[in-house]
Amino acid sequence: MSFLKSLFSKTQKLTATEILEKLSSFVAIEGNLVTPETKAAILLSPDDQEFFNNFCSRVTHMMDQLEDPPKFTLNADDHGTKWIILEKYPFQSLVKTVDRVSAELSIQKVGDRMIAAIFKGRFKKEDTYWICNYRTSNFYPFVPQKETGSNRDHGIPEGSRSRNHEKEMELGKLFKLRGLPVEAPENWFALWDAPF
Amino acid sequence: MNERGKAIGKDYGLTARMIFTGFMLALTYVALFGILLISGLPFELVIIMGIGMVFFQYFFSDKLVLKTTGAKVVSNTEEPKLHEIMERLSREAGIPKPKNIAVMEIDVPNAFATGRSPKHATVAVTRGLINRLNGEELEAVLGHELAHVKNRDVAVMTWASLIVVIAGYLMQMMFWMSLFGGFGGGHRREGGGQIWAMLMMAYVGIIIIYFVSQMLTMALSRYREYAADRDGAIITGTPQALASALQKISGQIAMIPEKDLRQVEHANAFFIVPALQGMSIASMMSSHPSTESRVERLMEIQRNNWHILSR
Repeated sequence: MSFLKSLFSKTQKLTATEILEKLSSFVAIEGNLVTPETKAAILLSPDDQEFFNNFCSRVTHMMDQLEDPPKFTLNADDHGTKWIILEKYPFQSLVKTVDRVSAELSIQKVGDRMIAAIFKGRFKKEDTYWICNYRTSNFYPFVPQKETGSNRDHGIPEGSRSRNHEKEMELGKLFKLRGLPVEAPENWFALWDAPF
Repeated sequence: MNERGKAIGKDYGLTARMIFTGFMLALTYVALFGILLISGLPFELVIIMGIGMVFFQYFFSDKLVLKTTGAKVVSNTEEPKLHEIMERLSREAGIPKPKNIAVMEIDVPNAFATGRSPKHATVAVTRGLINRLNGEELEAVLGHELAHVKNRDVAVMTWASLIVVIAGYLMQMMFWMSLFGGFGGGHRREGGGQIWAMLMMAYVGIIIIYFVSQMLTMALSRYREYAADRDGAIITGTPQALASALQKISGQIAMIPEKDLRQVEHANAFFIVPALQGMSIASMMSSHPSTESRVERLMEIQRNNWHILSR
């Protein structure tokens, strides 16, 4: 049983397989609106476990053990969280890879340190993130707005960051329409400066 | 129906649901009159009062609503943008421009249409709506209100609610009758018991009819909202703009938090997720469908007809 399956089956919601199938079919059906990227990430909140003290070597070793290991890079951010960025093509394989790596992390006893899986894609010509919250097993969109002249026209000061909420709502509805479990809007937390 | 409307076609599912609701409403009329005839209640006055009340609403709803909401009719010089949009959309919808365009000076974003026919229509918007929505969204909301005018929803809903008004009056009448012995309680020993039992059954029957007809009227109102969403989208050609406006009006966008996911993870306050699902009583008694389902339908129209709408 995959990690996500065991995680999600406890909540009596959709199973991981169903969620992944829906994410893949969402991308397949909405092909004219969404274009996925070949990278996705797993976001981890480290604690004082040995795994995080030797994060690079432990993850590298873990990946080496996998059949058909994916390309990956590691990253850390100002919040103290760590990123495992995975690369695979096509999108269906990328989704399966995220599931496999999540399962491995669970075996390494850091499953409870996983915050979210983050997928990236273009929606109506705009960069968007599709965040799967591991705590609630729900998806939500995050659309960081590029700094443009029109931002300033709308009273958004230069250098400040804003989100395209209209596009997020639109994408959220699209997720829901295609059967993905969607987080309540009050939990659509930002994820600034994702390193991919 | 305009060319775009013809190309998109009808929502037969929605039409079928409206017909079914209308049929069920007709049945409640039959049930009500059946009860009244069997019980021998003096109902003529109540029915005349009910019809009179509905007639009054039908003819004076526009003036009444303007008075109660404090909406002020605005001229072309005062609000040229609103007038220009209404002029253009009315042409597109193939109806005369509404007689009045009004603005309510409140910050809550909202809009409504009233008046028994396109000729007597008033479309009102709040200042909050004008300030919050962009041009395309404002046009989409006005298109939705204009669709209500075109579909004569005020007239339809006023007449559909006639049974609720009559049943409501009857309920009150029987309540007072029961208090003052009109149910024959004082003559129970001389065979009044039978009359009393029959009137009690009639009372219960009328209460049931009141609630059922109320629910059916609300369902019809929700279907008319969907129809206005759809027709408004056809008039303007921008379903997604109405979807976006609805989200702004309903405040869903305002619920999206500012915080970063990682900050929240550290605060460990992320695990409470709304658990209520399914159809609630409140949703059955609501005159408007949920924003969520309206937005979903609009998105569906957008997706299925993008090749027509983008013309």
